[in-house]
Amino acid sequence: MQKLKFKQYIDNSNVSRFRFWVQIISFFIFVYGGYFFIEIASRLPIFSCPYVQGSPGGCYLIGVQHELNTSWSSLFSFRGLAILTSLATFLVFFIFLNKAWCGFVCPLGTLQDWITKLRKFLGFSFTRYDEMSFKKLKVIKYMLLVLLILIPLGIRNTFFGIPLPHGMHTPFCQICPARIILPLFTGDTSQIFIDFTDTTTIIMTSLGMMVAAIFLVGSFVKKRFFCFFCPMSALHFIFSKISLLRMTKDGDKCTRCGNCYRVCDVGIREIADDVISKNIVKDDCMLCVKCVEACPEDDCLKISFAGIPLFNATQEGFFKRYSGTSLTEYIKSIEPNKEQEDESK
Amino acid sequence: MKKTVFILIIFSIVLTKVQAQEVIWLSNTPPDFMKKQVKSSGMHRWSAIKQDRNNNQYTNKKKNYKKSDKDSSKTGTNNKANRRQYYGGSTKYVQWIRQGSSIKNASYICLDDSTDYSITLMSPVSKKEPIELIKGKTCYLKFEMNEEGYYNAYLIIKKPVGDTLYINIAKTELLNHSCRNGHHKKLEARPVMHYPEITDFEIIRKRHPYEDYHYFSVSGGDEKYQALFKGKAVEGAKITVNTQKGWRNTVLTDKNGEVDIQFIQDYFSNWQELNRRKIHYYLLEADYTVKQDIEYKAKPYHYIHYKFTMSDGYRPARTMYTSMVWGLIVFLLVTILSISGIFIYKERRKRPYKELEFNEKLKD
Ligand code: SF4
Ligand code: SF4
Ligand code: SF4
Repeated sequence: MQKLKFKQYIDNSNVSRFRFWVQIISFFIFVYGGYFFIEIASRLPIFSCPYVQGSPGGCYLIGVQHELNTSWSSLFSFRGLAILTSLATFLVFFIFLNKAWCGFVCPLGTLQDWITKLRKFLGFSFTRYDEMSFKKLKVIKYMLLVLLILIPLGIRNTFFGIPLPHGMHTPFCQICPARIILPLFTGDTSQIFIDFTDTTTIIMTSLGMMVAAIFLVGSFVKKRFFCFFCPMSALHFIFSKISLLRMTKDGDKCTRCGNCYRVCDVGIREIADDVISKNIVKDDCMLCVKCVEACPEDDCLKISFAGIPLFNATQEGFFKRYSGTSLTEYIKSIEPNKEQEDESK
Repeated sequence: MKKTVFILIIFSIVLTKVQAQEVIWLSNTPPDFMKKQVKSSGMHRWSAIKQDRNNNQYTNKKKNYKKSDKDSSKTGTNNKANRRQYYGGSTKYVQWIRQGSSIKNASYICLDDSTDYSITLMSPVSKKEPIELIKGKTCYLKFEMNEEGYYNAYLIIKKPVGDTLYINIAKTELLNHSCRNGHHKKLEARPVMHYPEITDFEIIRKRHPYEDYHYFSVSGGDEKYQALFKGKAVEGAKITVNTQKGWRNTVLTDKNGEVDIQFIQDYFSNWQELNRRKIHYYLLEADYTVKQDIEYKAKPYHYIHYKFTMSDGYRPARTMYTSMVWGLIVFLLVTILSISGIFIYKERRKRPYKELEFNEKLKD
């Protein structure tokens, strides 16, 4: 009985508010934690960027780029083992939170959510991609992931006789907006530069500055703009199925009301349309759980950890969360604005 | 005749004195004839003889192993030991022994058995570790570094002249770091170790507050050094810096035993030739004399003169090849362009408002 009550309390709770605070705490830990002697790990599944002086850990992407800057022969010898060990470290962390690392912990994701809040506060409207663009653009993150693996390998091994310059080492870090923007929160502007050492460094650092600018403008008009192109998110999806944290959907209970799609910051259409898949974590999902909160059908969308139900969609929870808001306000809050509708046509 | 003998005697005394004071230091740049056999890392200024490297390239391994087989059959050396050498184990780092203040012209020397010398290697956790002196056409020190952090190697040569015992302390401080091991402690400047039990007089390079594993001295950057005698700071020790091109600067330590040294960029390259990874070396010499009655090899001496040397590298200043202004220009330009792009795109997609008209007549 006690247990049931507790579950009911959780299902009725406002996870978004909880997420808001978790994000603030995580942001402080991952940007300033190092100043307080916090040390986590160097192969984290989020943009805990070592270029930030106060970062208490490291992002897996920089590790993998460094490790792959090696010859084929080393790759299949002891170096290969080191690469596997670091992948295992990444997985040990990833397995617990799945894509919720993005929704709750990643400082760059949080920053995008804050920019969205600022946009709302200033009263600007936002945009969504239409279905075609969504499908085309989502490939970019996989391309970036493949490139960040192949370029370091290509520097050492020359593919098809094309030599890649050393200036392209850690190619993704060179264009990563986290490297440029997150240090600004510690008052460090040293990442704002163009490196004139050689043509490659000029191109790569210019690209980095461009991406940082596009990141800021893009996040202002599109929710979670960068996450859609983030290679870390692509990497997450590859291992998503083995994670202990899951989001499942019972298609039989879904009425395709579309609430979940409307609240989804990334704009994942399948969350409403797909009534067949049980595991409903898609590659762009960040497990922010907003869709579960907005689902009015009992046990239709569910979050579980190692099979233990954590948070289920319930009618009661839905009305609790949205009570106090009048129906019109509520519809306004979840309904995409006119412009969006136009674009998605 | 008498005059000539007198001049000769004076000359030989001067010569021995000069020889005794001739600065001896440890360098990681190989002599020209060995350059091909040596692999150097720019980042941490280490050098290793190629065949002593932990070479895991499969093809090389095979090649080397065959070679080792041949060698061992010829020389009858232990095949297993050879195999270990070629098949892995730790990289052996080297430091050459050089003489003379000019980095460019200092000779590569060897130590003979009549020289009173000692060599010591201390690990980052202050553990004595093995180090050997390899004698050949030139002499070099060879050692492994398996712990992460700064290793200190010392070559100490003692030589009495007149009533003074000259002690030449050649030190090198080498950082052993691999990014693969992670950067958990990157905010912690690696601790500076000094060992009064090895040498009474020592110069240490103080760490910068945010110095991490990737720290590199640059021209124009400030470095702080401290002179220590028996572990305590000494005032008035003479410290001289020599750069690769021959620029020299001498300063005395303050009451905290410290000096601030700024490496100047003593060379100019064309813009196209500017190589930010190019390392220029400096040699730091320090002199300190104490009046002390001591006995060395059963003979009394009244002074000890310490000649301390340490060499390391520095790179061109970051400001020489990076530009924040250009970074900001690119950033602002792209920001303005993308804002305008979005604005134009949105404007174009706006559809004019059309009123729905019902033709009432059609109803009928
Ligand atoms: S997808 Fe977004 S939240 Fe996730 S790691 Fe990338 S930037 Fe961070
Ligand atoms: S620059 Fe980006 S990819 Fe590289 S370590 Fe930092 S957060 Fe990770
Ligand atoms: S599908 Fe749900 S959990 Fe995933 S991003 Fe969209 S709203 Fe968040």
